[in-house]
Amino acid sequence: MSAVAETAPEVDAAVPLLEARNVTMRFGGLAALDDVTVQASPGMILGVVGPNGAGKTTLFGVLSGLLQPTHGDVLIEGDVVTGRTPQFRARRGLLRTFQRVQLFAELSVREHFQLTYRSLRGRPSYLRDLVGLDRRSGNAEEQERVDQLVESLGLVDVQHQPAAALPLGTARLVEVGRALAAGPKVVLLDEPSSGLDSRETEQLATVLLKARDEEGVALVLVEHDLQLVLGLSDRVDVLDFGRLIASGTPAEVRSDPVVQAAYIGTEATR
Amino acid sequence: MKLLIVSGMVFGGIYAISSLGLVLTYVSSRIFNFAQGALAFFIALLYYDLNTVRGWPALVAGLLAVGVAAPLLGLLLWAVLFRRLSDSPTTVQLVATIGLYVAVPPIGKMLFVDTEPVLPPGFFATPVPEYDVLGVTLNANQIAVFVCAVVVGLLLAAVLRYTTLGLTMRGVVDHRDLASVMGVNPAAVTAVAWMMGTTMAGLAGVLLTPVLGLNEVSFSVLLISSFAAVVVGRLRSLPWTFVGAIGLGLSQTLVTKVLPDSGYWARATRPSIPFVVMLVFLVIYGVVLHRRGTEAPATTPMLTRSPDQAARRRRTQVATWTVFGVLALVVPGTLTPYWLGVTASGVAVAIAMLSFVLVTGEGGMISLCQISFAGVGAMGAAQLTEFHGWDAGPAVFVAALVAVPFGILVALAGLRLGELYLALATLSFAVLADSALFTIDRIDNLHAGQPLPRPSVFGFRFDSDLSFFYLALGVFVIGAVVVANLRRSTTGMTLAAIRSSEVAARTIGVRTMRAKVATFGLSAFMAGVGGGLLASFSGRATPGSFNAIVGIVWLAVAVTWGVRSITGALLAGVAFSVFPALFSSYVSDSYAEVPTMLFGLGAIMVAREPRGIVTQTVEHWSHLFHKLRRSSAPATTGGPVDATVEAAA
Repeated sequence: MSAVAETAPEVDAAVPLLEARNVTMRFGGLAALDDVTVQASPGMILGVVGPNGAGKTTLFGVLSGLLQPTHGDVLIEGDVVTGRTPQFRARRGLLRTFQRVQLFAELSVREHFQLTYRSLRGRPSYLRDLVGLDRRSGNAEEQERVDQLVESLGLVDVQHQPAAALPLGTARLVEVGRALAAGPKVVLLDEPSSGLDSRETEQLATVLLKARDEEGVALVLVEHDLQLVLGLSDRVDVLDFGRLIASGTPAEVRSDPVVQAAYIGTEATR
Repeated sequence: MKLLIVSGMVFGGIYAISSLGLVLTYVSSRIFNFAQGALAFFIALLYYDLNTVRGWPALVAGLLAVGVAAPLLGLLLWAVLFRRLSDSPTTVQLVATIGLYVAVPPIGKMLFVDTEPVLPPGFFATPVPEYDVLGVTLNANQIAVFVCAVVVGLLLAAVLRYTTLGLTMRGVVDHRDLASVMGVNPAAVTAVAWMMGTTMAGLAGVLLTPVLGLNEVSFSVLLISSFAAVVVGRLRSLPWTFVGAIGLGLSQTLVTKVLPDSGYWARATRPSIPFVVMLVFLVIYGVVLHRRGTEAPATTPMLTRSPDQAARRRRTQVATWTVFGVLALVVPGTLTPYWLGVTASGVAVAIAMLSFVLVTGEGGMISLCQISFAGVGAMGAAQLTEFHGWDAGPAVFVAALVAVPFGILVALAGLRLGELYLALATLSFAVLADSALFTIDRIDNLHAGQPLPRPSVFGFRFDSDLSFFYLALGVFVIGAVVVANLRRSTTGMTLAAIRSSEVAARTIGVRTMRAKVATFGLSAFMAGVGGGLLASFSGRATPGSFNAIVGIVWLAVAVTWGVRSITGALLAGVAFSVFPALFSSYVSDSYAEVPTMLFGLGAIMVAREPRGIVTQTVEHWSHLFHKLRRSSAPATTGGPVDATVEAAA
């Protein structure tokens, strides 16, 4: 395996890998996030749950740098990265997926993985590309990594197809693979299982757990399905109307009266 | 001084009417109508035809042209074009309205006038009544401009603020569903906005006629200047747009007070002001707005290759080589010297067209200043040969390199705010290059430009048109190889990713800005080489041939032939040169405008066929051809295995 696997399991428990510290995000007068603090450590699965409109997707926007918070900070391994670009955070090991899948229509499945790998590990040179010294196949290390990913996600048959033609379930797997391609430290997954059938969900879970176990990748999982997250996560944070209303182990959260009230309330209206 | 203020107010008034119309249509449909000036010109021609040619009274002609024909034109354009465009990507919207901008003036000229009229009248015919206002003598046409501007401004503000129609106009773009729920038909509201916008364009046109005459180019430049006011108002604020428009008009006339009577500054300053203002505001807004991050929604990919392109790539390559072969071998032997020359200069233009394949096809950006980069290449090279004794070859190369920093700066100024503002920034640069850069005495040389000889290699000078033709074709092939390399490379993957989802590309660490800016810079170099060769072919680098208005036609030609295809670029360049020559040689002069009109219409068709109407048609035919050949294949080869494979495929 690559160098990532050998170094990753070294866990420094004192400094969280990813932290949102007292983050507030206002759109006009509306606070989509109100003084929210969440933390994720290496190798852990953090579930973020809450009903629709609770601020989960906004939190991901703030963490990944696509949105700048009104107040508060985002930290990666203890360093403040508030105001830094999504690209900078990706190079620090923070990758993400989207609730509405965003693939690159003209690129093949394989090229999605190659592009992540080269953006984060390679040394792009515009001039070299112009004279034709760059070829799309990539070096041996990259090929091995991409091959492995393609295989473990069960995408061997479609690896040369352009993304535009893929069904939604496959597209979701590709998006997760794109996030994993360069050996990330933490991956934000925005409703990864929606649109997947049970076989695909299983395949996805296997790949994610393998990344966590072998490379120490932390996963932050947004879902509105409470049961699914409670089953998977090491810790769960519950958001409601932009506020953090509960936080703890799945067992603690399950028995929390505030959570029960919030969820029974929303379940009843559904 | 008072006189300057008054004439400044007149210009400001015209800017105001035109720019308020633009804001109105943008607010209600999110489409920036590039063709506002062309529509103004069209209605002004119609008014001239009714009033002067047919001798109808000014009031009747004015009411018919501005009050009836203009709104009907708006309704027509909405029905056939803008309605379709409202959900298209910004790039496609821009290209389509730019096509309209190119196509409408030739249509108007063919319909209404043969030759440009001298001193066409406005609403008040000569002798124009004059009045004494605050110690300044004003004629009725000037007063009409200002009164109209104020009335239109107030009326528009009142309509938008206090009427149900205005409320729905503002709401309909962002909340189309909501508007439908409220029982408002969003389509009808947008149609009304387009009718009002076109009416305002027409009003501006008729008012402008006595001031400017019915000259297409001065109309374009003046109404493009009003874009600056629209940018000041950030495409939504009516009061700011109005203030910006009047401020522009005033500053353009007042500045003459401090300028010398003749020389470079006298020539360059006045026309540059709106575009300097536009660039400054673009940069300010870019910096301010960039502080707040945005999670842009996923847009549909623009000007994309068809998904099954990979399968067709072989066929495309065959087509490319066929075109090359025909051009390289057949053309020189069969053409008369005149047509050989026309084709050779077309190949030089094709090199500049290749720069559109980079910046628009690969980069997904609209640039209206490729012609200015070409101009930098041409006029820079002429400076080096004329004043420093360089050979034309290295001079063109170095001058094209000089275009690169210009390209990078324009990209940096416009990129942060999205496609529309980038297009406006490139337009600003193109007009600024015309008014402030190419007017430098050493370059302009009383509009004659400087000589630029043919290049020579190892003592061989490309003096004959045949040798120059092969030189240009050779340079085109090198450019084509560079573009092909880029497509195949990691950078090509990066650009493809950005075209689909810039947001997703950023989250995987792709340096999106760097890729786009570098592509822009490279395209500036390529355009510079093309421009340098074009000027070298004709023997002179003259500012007039690299005019911003012609540059807009270049874009229309490029997208018509398909901006994703190298073959398309070659054909586009040759067509740009050959079509007008064909028309002037074999068809009467009154049809001289037809090629321009066709290029404009071709660009409008991009609204329907984002890959370019010609590429689309060719692919369609080649598909048909291959089908036919397949169905006849078993009969000729007789292989049963082949037949089943073909049938399965």
